[in-house]
Amino acid sequence: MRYQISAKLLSKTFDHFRKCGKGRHECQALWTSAWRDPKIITEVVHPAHIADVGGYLVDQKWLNSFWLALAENDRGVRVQVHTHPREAFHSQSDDAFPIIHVPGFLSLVIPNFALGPVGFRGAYLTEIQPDGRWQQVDPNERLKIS
Amino acid sequence: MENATETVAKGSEKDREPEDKHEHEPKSFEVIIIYNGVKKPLKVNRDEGMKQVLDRAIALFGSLPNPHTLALFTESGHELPITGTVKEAGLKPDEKLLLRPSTVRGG
Repeated sequence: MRYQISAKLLSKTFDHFRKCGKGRHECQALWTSAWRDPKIITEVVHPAHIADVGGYLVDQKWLNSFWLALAENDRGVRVQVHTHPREAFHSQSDDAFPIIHVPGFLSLVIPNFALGPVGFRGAYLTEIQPDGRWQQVDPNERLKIS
Repeated sequence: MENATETVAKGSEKDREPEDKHEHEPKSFEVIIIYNGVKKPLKVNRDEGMKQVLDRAIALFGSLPNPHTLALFTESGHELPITGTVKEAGLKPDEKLLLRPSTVRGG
């Protein structure tokens, strides 16, 4: 599936990373959409989490509330996005502990704590395969900025 | 980082009621399983093992890779055990159960 995200929401995602991570800590955001129209990303969510230069951990209490809110609002998480200090790639921790673990789920990693230009330059996008493994995919094939 | 997870789990255990409060409830009933915003009913038996309930809850949503990363949580955030029975876990009819990862992290 190719998801559409507005330039405004993409910019908002980078804003979260820059304000929260301050160029010193990793940060995560979640792109969600309605189940009636899953292709159109309409919300960026900034989870409660703790983080340092090398990783982040989403707050359990927040995650529970978020799970209920998704159901109440008939929405789902389509893409998880997080920053790396330098090069973008998927670490062992990224592989093992995503928020959603279904085939087709996307994980986008933004390099340099998202301090560079807003967009997918240098970004790493990977997708869960039917056998559970992650496979790198071209951001332009799965994500369209509208 | 692991301490935050443990604190939440321990703090919510008191939310569960003693099993003797369920003596007059039906032998089987439905609970609502929630995964990524989707709600699906699951019929459970009071004598059924919680590991079986978890496996059947996961199966409701297709063939999810790495099912060992998922657990059932109550609305208040208490992680349900995979040992013991439905009765011992204190599940109630129409209760919402959240099927979600125990841990979400990256690095």
